[in-house]
Amino acid sequence: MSEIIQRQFEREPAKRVFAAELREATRTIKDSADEKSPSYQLLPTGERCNRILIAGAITEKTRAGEQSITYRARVSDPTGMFYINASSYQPEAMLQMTKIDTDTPSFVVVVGKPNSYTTPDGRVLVSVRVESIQVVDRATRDMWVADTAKATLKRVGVMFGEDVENIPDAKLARETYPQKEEYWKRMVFDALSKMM
Amino acid sequence: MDANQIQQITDRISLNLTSKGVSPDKNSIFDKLSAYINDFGVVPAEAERKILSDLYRKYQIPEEQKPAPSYNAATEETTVSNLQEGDWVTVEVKIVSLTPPRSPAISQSGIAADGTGAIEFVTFAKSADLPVLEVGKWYRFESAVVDAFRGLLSLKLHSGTKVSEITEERCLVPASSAPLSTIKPGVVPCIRAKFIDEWELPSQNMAQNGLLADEGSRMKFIIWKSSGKEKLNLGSVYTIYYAVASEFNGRISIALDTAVWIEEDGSAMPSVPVREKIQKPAEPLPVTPIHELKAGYATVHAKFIEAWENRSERMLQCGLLGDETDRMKFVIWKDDIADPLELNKVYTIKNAKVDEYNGRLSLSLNRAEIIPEEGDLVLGRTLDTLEGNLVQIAKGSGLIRRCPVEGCGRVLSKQNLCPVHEIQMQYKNDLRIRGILDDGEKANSVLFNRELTEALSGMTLDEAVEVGTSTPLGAEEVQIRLMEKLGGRYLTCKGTWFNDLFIVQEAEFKQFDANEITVLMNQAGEGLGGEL
Repeated sequence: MSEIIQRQFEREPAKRVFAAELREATRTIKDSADEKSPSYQLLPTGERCNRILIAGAITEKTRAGEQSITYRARVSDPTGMFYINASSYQPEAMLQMTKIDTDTPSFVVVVGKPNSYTTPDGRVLVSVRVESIQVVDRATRDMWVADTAKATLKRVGVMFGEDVENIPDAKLARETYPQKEEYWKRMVFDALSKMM
Repeated sequence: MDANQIQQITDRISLNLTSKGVSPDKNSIFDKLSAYINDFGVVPAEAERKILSDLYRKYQIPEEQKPAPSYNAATEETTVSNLQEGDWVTVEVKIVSLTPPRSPAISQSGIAADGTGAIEFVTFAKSADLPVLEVGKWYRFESAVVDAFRGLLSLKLHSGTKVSEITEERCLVPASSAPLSTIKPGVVPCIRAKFIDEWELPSQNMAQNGLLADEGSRMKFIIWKSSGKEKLNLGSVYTIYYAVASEFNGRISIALDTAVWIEEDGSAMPSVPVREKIQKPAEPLPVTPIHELKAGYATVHAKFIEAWENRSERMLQCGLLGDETDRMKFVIWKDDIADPLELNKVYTIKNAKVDEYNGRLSLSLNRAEIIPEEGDLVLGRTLDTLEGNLVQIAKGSGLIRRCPVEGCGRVLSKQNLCPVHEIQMQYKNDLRIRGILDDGEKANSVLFNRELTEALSGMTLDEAVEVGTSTPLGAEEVQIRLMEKLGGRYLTCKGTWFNDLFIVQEAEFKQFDANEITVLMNQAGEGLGGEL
């Protein structure tokens, strides 16, 4: 029998997500107890992600640490803010971060891994560990807004569609997060209206 | 945002600074605010915070420090998902299934679960004080031991373990199903998969074995006779709780003996096909363009365009057939009646078998009816389109050196070593990009050749060689510059798939289309009520 059941490594696609949605994506899911198994953030529109593509204006960049340096920055999209960071463990991403001038505004596209953590006062925040960050022009940012609007509407359509019972992540998101379909459609609408 | 609102924020910022004994330039604050808010789409609160913090730094005013975020401390008890080999633990779990003990030393075995995961457990016969556990009840186990055998964790209840039944009503929220591709050895809380292929039983002790599949991958499963479980029905979709996965020779399979499942009919996973035993059609099929062929049987109208060397004694002929849309490998095996094709001649080949191996298709002509045709046909190739964001440029991109030996062209190592022709100092420089074009649903591997790399990046091979020899980072600098030019950009590519690699033949930057925004706004605005 030539049937080979291979468990190939497949790179995770970068999900498109607006800041206002990522901020709410506080639930972490893991498929097994193994510490090496990947962890995902469950998006409130019903899909898991462990890599995301985001874009916006980079506003502030700070450097922390002496021996192991971490750069943190904020990236604004039409719906809110992403908190991104890159440390010495990601030398390429850190080098790209150091090169970006934040004294004048510019647009960036960021590929990264979302992570959630709990603050001492009990709030859960979602930040993004940068894999790569590039300064881009306005047209690229605008295409990202359109791309992300489209992807978000597609997820919303599935999550509030008839088949939700058969789609575990969408079902889990409906049980986990309080927002309704209108909430996400309005977020997308508002983001797009800022493009016009 | 209009000037009035921006003026309000400007006043607020300047008031704040004045209270710290600084008199800032209001016009400059106003201009910066309107650039961030109106030109760069930054939310007003963030623009205000950013500008205020820049000015604090400029005037060396200390910012109020907020405590740094930290991770939550561990809780007193643990949960199943946190168990590690060798731990002595206290857990509160529900007994979800019991299995016949495998040894007289064991009095009970089965699966215990909480909301985070599930684990196999055993109680030892000599620990007679332990209560008899019942399926469906919740228990608190104090001082149980986590043991591991061949990478599978289990929970051992011994004479020192305190077991108490939890009588209050508790609800075990069933885990959501995990994709098959993510399964690791151990108890699998929940999967949802279709039974797509049933295999012959290799052992008398086995009740059933075959393949389960979901949208992403496939996995072997087994049900042993001793479990007394019912068999699965081919083609149905199952949500399976508490199966046990194990690894053998690097492959994972799952046993359903401990599991419980819910059956749905096969329409639930329409994109997962059940393995069909394909029968040769009785009647000749209509002609299918090569580009549209799928595994099975098909009739093609094609020209024999390239003869290849036979790699096997059993092979009569192999080579390429082409038509207006594409080209495909064909094989004719030696048998009593097979005749070879004549190069550059056009044939109609009725009911040829289309085989799939490792994702690639080929035609096997032995049982087909082959009719020579008069005339010629215009060969063509259909390019596939792939759109996405170039999220990564991989190592081995940029300036590379190729082996100069005729017909080789392999990429040399940093020491100019060819894997076949040893050290080659007279290498040929080349430029390429191996990257990931990500469309949000799939991360596609793509390859751009020199012409495309030059056209997209605006850097010629000669310029790249110049950068590679005159900068401290050398070839790495070329890669960094390619990333700066192309990383994070949206591209539209045309090309052909070669296994999992998309070989790009045409590429351009995607253009922003304002109409798309209008269409999406209409879609998003649907059903949102009147106040838009």
